[in-house]
Amino acid sequence: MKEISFTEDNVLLHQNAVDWEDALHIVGKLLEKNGFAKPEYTEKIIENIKAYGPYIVITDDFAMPHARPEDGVISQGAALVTLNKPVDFAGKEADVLLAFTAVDNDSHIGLLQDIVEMINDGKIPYIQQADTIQELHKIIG
Amino acid sequence: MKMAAVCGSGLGSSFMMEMNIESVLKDLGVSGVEVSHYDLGSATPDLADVFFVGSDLAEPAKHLGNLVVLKSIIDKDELKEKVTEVCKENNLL
Repeated sequence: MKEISFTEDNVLLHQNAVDWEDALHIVGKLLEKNGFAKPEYTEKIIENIKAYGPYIVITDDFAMPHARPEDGVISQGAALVTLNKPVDFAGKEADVLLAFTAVDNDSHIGLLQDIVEMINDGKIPYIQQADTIQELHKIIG
Repeated sequence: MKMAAVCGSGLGSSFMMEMNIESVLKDLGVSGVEVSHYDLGSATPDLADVFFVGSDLAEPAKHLGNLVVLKSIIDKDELKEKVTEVCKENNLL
């Protein structure tokens, strides 16, 4: 992990979400708390999913909630939420949500490289099992 | 030649596909290919010779013309196979 740092501020582990919108609100609030996005960002992601399907679920059990810079982004960042039980995003389930904000089309390249690496190294299921930030750090290195 | 990856937002899946296409091209030893990423709303047929999309965009991206549809946007084996095919068709391999 070169770009993303996970701390007590941008991670919530083992959350309980009643449905996919609830899960997005949990991770969206983290983005807001860290000054990465305004509340409208989460609403835009929800709107996009309703219009275009579950575009944020990019592989089994893993969602990458994001919208565009003009949808309420304040600064570039990331937030992680893991769920005790997966939620269903219009036919695709996820229990690990890694939301990000981008300020333009390209500056978040390092952030996406980190995510690609985590997926390619098969770390998603282990991330879901992490009980503490320390464990999370051990898993993702 | 120009290859483009396209997704709904133009920031997540498409950017990941672009990175993976570049890494596949490097593995194959193919040079001289320009790779970029776009959102579906701003992608036009003139921007690239071939457009890579996830299966969810196979229909909405039809107007772009030369489409390569990926079952999984992060499966490197599938991508390698399809990029190799495109390179062979264009005499880059």
